Amino acid sequence: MEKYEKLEQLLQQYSYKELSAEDKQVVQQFVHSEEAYESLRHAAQQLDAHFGKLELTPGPQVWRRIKKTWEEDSAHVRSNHWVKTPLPANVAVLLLIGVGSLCWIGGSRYTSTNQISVRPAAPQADTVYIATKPDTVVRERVIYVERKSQFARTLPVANTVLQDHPASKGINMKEKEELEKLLVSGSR
Amino acid sequence: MLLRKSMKSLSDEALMNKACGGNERALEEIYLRYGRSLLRYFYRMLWQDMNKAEDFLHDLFIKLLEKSGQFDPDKKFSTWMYSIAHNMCKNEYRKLTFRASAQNHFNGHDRVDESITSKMDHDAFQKALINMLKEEDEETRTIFILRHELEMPFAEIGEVVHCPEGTVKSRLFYLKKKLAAALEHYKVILEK
Repeated sequence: MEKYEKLEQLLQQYSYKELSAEDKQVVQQFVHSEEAYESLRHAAQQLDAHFGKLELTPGPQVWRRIKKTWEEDSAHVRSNHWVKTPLPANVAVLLLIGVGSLCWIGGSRYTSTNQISVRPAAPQADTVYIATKPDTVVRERVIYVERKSQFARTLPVANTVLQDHPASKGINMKEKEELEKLLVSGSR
Repeated sequence: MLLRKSMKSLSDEALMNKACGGNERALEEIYLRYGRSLLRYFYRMLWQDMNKAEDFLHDLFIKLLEKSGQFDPDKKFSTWMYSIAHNMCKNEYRKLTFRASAQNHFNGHDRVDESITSKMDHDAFQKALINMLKEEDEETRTIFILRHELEMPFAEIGEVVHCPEGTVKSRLFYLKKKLAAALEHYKVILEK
């Protein structure tokens, strides 16, 4: 079928009698008689007369409909266009290298020891407000001191028996009553 | 005006990219370049039904935008576009209960095109051609129409229908021979 184009051309232009010896060799690869060639030629001529003569033009409404449908869908199609558009390999590689190096530079800042700063934890006092009145209110702290230890410091000997001094001894109620009686009688 | 001129200088592939990016002028330029030939293709493929052909033309342009992600910029735009058109026709043939309805369509077509036939004085040819195409499958019909109606190169036809160039040529030659034989038959009948 390599010479088919040539056969088509010959069928359009020449009758069998007009063919050169070289052309006839081409023709004989397809048909074996003058009659068959002429019959094919007739068919080819009829085909040429029939086809390609059609003067058809689409009505204006066709373009209007296409435009309308396209306008309705175009927003959607356009939004997908970036996703659908294939990236050339070299651009994709460059993009990957760029993004990778940016991430690496950004990451290296955080791993550097110079940038580490330790903040001392500042003590913070919280104030607590008690909403309800407490049962026990501690107004002041009472510190109990062991008196025994104070006495121990003041006394020179621990096992000395203390003797009452007559001046240091007080009077009791009975003695007080007797004294009062004496005072009354003395006044008389 | 200047914009239209600049669009005319662009390749189909560049126009398609622009159209997908939302450029209406680019889409219109594609329509102006291919609208008529596509209409002729659909008209021939879909039983010479003008309304159907126009509907298919509309649907094709919408499909072009929807499937723009599948377009390979290294390949020819027109091949890709006709592949979609071919698939649309294939689906349409499948949808119809083909054998029964196609028969009716072709018979109907005979009646519709009677005036044209008489004008062209190609009665025998028309009948032979219709009978011949009626018997062929959708793919062979596509090859035939792409070659004779749109004068598409063999290699491109092969890409559209996904078959080797040699197969396209042999199918065309076979159809031409069949047509020639049918015409001879009609000639004999007419002579009688």
